[in-house]
Amino acid sequence: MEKPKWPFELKPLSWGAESNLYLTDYLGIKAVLKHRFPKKYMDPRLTRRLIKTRTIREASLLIEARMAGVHVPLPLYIDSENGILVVKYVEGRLLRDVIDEEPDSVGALACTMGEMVKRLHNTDIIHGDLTTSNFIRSKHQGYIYLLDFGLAFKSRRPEDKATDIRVLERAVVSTHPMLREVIMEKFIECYTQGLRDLDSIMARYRKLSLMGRYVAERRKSLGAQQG
Amino acid sequence: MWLHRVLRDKEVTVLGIESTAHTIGVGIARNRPPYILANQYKRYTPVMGGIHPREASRFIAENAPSVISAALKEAGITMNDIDAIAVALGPGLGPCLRVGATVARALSAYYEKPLVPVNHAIAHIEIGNLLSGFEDPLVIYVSGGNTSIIAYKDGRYRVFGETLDIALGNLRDVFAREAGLAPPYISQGEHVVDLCALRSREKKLLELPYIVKGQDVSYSGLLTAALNALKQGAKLEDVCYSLVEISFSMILEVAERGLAHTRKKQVLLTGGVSASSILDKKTKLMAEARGASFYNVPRKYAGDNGAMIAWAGVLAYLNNIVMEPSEAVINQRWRPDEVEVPWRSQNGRSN
Repeated sequence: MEKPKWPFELKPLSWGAESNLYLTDYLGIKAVLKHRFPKKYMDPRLTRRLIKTRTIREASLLIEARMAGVHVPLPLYIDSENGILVVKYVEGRLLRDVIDEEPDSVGALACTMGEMVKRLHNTDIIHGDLTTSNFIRSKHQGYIYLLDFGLAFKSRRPEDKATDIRVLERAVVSTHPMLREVIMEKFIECYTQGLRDLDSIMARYRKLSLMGRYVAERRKSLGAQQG
Repeated sequence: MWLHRVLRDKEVTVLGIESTAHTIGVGIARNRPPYILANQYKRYTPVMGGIHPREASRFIAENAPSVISAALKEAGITMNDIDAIAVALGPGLGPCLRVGATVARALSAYYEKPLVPVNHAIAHIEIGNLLSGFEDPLVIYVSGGNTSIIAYKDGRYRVFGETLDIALGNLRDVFAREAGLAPPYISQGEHVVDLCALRSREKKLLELPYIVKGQDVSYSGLLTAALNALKQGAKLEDVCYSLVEISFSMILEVAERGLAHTRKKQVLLTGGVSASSILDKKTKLMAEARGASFYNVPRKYAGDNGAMIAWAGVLAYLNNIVMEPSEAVINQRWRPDEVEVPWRSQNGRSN
């Protein structure tokens, strides 16, 4: 695995498909370094081009999200040629774990998540990878942060926004199967308050959910036939 | 490996019919080595333009009887030795599917053999599993009508990522046709777009749209941009090179994400486009970088064929998945994740 060009100490955090994460220290600030590395199966010019545009896009979307009032790790350093993005480290606990440990606060947490995603969508930012592991409750102020804008993009299409919510719902179903209804109900309640294009986004979202149900109902009848 | 379970079952022989697009394929499979007893097919190749569903379905209807006879002859058996008739009920082109379904219903009713519904995509995966010996691969399924990244989880093959519009094979065929490279689409075993890309001396990489949205890809914008680049005077070979590089990188990037997410350790490449040596090489590189083993399904079992329907039919039949002929209705958009695959689960029935 290719190491990033970086003068400070690096402690590996995780290996992803697209990038590796390291814990580092940047001018005395505890930080996370995200390194996008070239893909051997791609034309070298193509993989460089993608690394550059994605690194820049992620950094600018983080800043845009912060300006929209969403807590995100702030970019501290960017070297798009070498695929390096350094953001401030957020110390805290993943909502995935908080939800399971503090069942009483599930509603409040889901509402905060809904408000955050609403702010993003009102700025036409699609996160692209909403899961309860990408939300973190910071240790110091208790704010909820949204992490990893690696798959984020700009779009005003209601379909993309509805899909963003469906991605979250799918993740909730697999990570918190028992709490799915509580979480999604509260999330939607707070998400829709003051949401731009509310009707078309929710119509699209219901259509996406209905498609799933239709499939399940038909499967049931098929299963009966097959014994 | 899971295959040993089918060996414990009673011996069954299944005849499978494939007619989802341009191919009428008839295969015969058995749950005993060598597993595949026959694999006969005839492929409709349009003189000009793309596949016309009506023409293709007529071709299938005209050729089905002879292909069935050829398959029985190849296996050296008669209809009496067949335990069940399997048929691909989807996904695919409606008129073509209907012919195969009609033939299968007729055979099932006339010879009084149970009818086994088979999902075409799952058949591609299962014959790949049989040939590779893989237990649990991440599947890259790329053909003229399908482009999906599929992996098994909790009783089903889940679609991890897919194309949001046209399929990879469709992108290549339409571009080849519009650019005047095809038909024929295949020359010396390679697609004409690949051959054109290999002729590019400068290997100039044009700025064509690279669209990956999360786990999905979109190819229609790439097709339009590539054709526009041609119109604006870009060199054909450079457009081919850029199209091939970008389209393959997109699907492999999504596959790589799937691999990291599912933590599978095997990569299975199948579907008509898997015959591309360029894609073969790139997929191998991707799998190696992730520490996964790689298998590319041989051409005659990677393209549409009857053997895969017969083999998936064997697995389904051993799990009592049968239908009344009157209920065997085609489904043009039958997704693989709608189908339960009991033969893959640990406690799957083995009679």
